[in-house]
Amino acid sequence: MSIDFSNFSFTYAGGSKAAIQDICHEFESGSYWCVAGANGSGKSTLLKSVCGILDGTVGKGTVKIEGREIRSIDRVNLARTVAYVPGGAGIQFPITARELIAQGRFPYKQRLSIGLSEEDETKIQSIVALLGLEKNQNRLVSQLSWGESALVMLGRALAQETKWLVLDEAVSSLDLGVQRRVFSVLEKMHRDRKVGILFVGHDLNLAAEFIPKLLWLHEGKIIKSGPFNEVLSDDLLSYVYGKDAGLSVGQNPKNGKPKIFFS
Amino acid sequence: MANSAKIIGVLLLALLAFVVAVLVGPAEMTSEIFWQLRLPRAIGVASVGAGLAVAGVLVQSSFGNPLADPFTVGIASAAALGAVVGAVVFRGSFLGFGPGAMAFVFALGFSFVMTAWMRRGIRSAADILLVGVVCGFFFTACATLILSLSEPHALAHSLSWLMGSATYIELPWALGVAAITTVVTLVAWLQWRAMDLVTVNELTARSMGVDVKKLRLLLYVCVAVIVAISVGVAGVIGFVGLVVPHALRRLGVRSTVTLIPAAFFSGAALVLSADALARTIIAPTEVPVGVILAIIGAPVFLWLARRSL
Repeated sequence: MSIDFSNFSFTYAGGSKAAIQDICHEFESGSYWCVAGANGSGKSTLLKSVCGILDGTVGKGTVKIEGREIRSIDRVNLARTVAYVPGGAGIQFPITARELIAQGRFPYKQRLSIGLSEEDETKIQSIVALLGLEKNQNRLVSQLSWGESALVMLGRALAQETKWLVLDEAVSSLDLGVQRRVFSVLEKMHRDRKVGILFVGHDLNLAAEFIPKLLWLHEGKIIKSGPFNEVLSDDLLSYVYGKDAGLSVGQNPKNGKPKIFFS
Repeated sequence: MANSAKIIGVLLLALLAFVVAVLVGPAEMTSEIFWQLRLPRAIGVASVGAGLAVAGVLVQSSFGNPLADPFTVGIASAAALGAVVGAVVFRGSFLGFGPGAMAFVFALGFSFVMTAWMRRGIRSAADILLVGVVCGFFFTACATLILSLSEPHALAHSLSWLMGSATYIELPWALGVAAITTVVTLVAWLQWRAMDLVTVNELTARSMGVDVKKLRLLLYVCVAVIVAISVGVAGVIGFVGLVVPHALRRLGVRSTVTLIPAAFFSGAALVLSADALARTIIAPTEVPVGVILAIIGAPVFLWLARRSL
């Protein structure tokens, strides 16, 4: 189930400039990507176009999933194919962790059916266990730590049982332990269930540790894509972030993964 | 306690309040009083309470904002202005329609303008609420201006509308109001999953298949119908729409699937009891039911919420 961008350009409602332009790229079925770039480079727009939640005008081109244009797919069906995880939901109403995760089953429910099936309950329980939320599952999300509430939002996306997971800054501002837990879960989904993942975040050293592929956006256009260690280079970093940032690529001495240094 | 038990609990409470409301009153009970005054009034008041509490859930859920109520979206203020225009400008009757009918027309008219505006583009929840609040101020100011220029007799008549006071209603009308409120509640209830998702996060709700714009339009119309009817029957009653959903959530009724029926019955119970008290506390003078609700209800709510505030 690949995601295909062909010549895709998009401008937000009220915006004068295209947020992303002439995007041509195929995310192969089950692939695992980090989408990187400076602030305002179009990363979130790219992710949202995959989830079908953009408001504005498509200049030209298409985004297709398994050959079908995303905008023409029924929204509930799309929610069974792509799950979206934002960075922090800002939940204002009381809801427990388990109730929130259970919402991930909504796209599979008939309008008049109330409550969850036994199968749903089993699925939710295994997600709760996978995320290590057993102890806190019946607490209100507003009473959980920021990290745990981020795990709950991820849990809801997992409950959607999609072929693609899309994470927009979902691990930013989490502590190192929770970041590790998120990446372990993503790794497991990618390896065992062949789930494709599109990840946006600014901590590239963290991403380099876990994510095999890297796509660079700059001012709304793709400038480079491929295996993480091949794409990341001194020239690219100074092109994107400016020479003054003084960034260079080296290696993590423990595992040989690429690592960015400030000089 | 399971949620179904809570719903049955508030249903029993509503029935009890209904019986009490029918039985108590300053005058002695006769068959005439029962059929022409007490029963229609109890049905009307119960429908208003049920409808307003449900409207509160709908507004809060569809805008993902716990502070929203039928006043924050401007509809209730539009209805109040309609009642004042009906009472003062048209001296209680315009082509045979009283202030209640004018309140209905104003509320629906305003919601028509608002939904037309909402349909024309992409509006954020904050924008819709802001426009609602600003329009609400405008309507209230217009009503105050009209009142300040009016004669004492008309002023007294309008005040009873503005503070909420169930007036004379005939049985067929009361039954009609109950039927419409129930149907609108059912229509809105069918959207419970979408509302659950929007209360968490609008963007993720959309990613999970909710057409937020359509949902808001539908629920806005539901709220407008409920508020228009309730102001027409009982004047402007605040408090219920804001507080009933909150109180229920704090009692553990969280999902919209149970919140809507629970609000329906507890809103009815609350306004029925307040109305019974309003009629009897300093009989034969009637205290506006809105006043009773806020004066007793506000401290009770704060006490209920004391642990989580």
